[in-house]
Amino acid sequence: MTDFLQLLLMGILVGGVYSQIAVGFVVIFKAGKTFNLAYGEMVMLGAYISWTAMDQWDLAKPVALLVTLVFAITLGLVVERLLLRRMTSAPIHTMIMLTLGLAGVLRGLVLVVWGPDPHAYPDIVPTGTVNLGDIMLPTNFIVSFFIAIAFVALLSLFFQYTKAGLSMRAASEDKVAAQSLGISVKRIYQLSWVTASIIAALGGILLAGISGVNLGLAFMGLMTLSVVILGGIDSILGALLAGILMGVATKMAEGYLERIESLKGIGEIFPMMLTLVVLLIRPHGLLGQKTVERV
Amino acid sequence: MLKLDNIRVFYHEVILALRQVSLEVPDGSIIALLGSNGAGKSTALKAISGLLITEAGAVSEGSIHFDGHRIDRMEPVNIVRLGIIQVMEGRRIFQHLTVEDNLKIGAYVRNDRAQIKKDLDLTYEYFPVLKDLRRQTAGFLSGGEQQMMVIGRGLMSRPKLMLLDEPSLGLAPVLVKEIFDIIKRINAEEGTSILLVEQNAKIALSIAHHGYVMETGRVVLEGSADMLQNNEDVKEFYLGLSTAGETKSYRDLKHYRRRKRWMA
Repeated sequence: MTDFLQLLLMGILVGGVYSQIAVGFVVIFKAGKTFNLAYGEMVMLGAYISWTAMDQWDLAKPVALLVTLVFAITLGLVVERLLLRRMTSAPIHTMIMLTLGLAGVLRGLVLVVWGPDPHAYPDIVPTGTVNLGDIMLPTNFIVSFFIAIAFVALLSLFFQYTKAGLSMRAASEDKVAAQSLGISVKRIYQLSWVTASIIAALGGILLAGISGVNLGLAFMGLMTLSVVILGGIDSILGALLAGILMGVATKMAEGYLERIESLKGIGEIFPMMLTLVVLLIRPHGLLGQKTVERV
Repeated sequence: MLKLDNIRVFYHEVILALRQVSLEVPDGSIIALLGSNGAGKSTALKAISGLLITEAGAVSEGSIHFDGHRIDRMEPVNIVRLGIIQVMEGRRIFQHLTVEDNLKIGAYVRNDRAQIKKDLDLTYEYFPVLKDLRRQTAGFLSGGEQQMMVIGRGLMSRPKLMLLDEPSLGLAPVLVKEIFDIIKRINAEEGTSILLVEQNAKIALSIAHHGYVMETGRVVLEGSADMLQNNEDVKEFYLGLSTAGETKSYRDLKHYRRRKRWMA
């Protein structure tokens, strides 16, 4: 029982971070109906930049975070302006291939600048564990979880109540109608890439706090694509739910299934298997929008 | 005052959609733009609102002026800011947003919060049914309610000129009457000029001051609404009335010739 609760709670905590990262996919998809396959690399870059600012340049932590934020905003703007802007009328798979190419370039860049060796990430939050009876939870997991959840909540408030958020939702439904009302679709794309880039960088920082700085972060970032697909690609709430579900599933698979010798490593693919099964039953994902239609 | 001066419109730089179209919408007037399918009515509206670029279309010759600004090379965003709003054909609602959010997004280019709030109430006054449905997801509204919502959404930008593209499309006659009465009221009470594209010539001419008839990308006839209503050709081609008493074969021949002259 203790085992089970320990795995469950750890799964929820990690899942919160998955959710936070996954939301970045949702934002890009809502605006442009495209997947950003370079997203994992953007997550990784966020981690590397913040690590460099803190560990190499010895900047104070808040300053380092600010540097990372500025970098993320710039990255979002540059990628949108130089690459995606030219593709606004291109077919969706062209855009997806473009982001795949970008992923390769960014990964190569990280290798050239930082090399392949993993680094330990400085502790942003106090280390230690919180003990609930026999269950031990690392403090940094707990703090990361709450930061992630707070961020997702803020973001959904942004989409629900602000003018910019509302215009992004409108444009995601019907670009031409949005333009007819004076919404600039260019601005919407720009806004969505900058937002996604910020989300990615924050996700990179949180992930690095849990697992250190290494090239594997890109894979972990991209892994959250299966989270958004599970949750319903255009739903923030769905991403939240699916992230936590995925975290729990991964931890459970690692905890129980990997005890069986021949199932070693199943923890990594178990979430994908789960996604597959859910999609068979609910093709729109858990909370994805169906086309509203009167009957 | 809106003035189209001899404009020519191409799609994809090869498909000629409008050739030499000139028309005027004086301040505070309702102008009807009639014509059959493919005559270029919607293209004319998109040329004005700038939405042509979303379909790879462009004004290649001539000019469009609105209140002293040349607008035929402007971005749609800036045209909306000048006070022209297009209510597109086919009720382009944001179906996952609530009715109220749909209306609010209409005021996107404005920043005067207090006045926007008042205009929201005003819109509900014109369309009381929307007030009861304000929290409803727009996709679940009936066709008539959706049409009212998109007109209301256009109104929320406080336009000087509204371009209405077939507001009667797919609606029951009684609803069409209701919507046209409201359009007439908006024109009279808010002073909003209206350029109305319609297939339903009868109802359009009943509220319009002046009208233009288009065929194959050209204006073939223009005049006051009364004049158009009594014009033999308009009666026959658009109002579905024909002179009684003539033999069928003769009329068919005459019809064919007259039609041919129009299409030339």
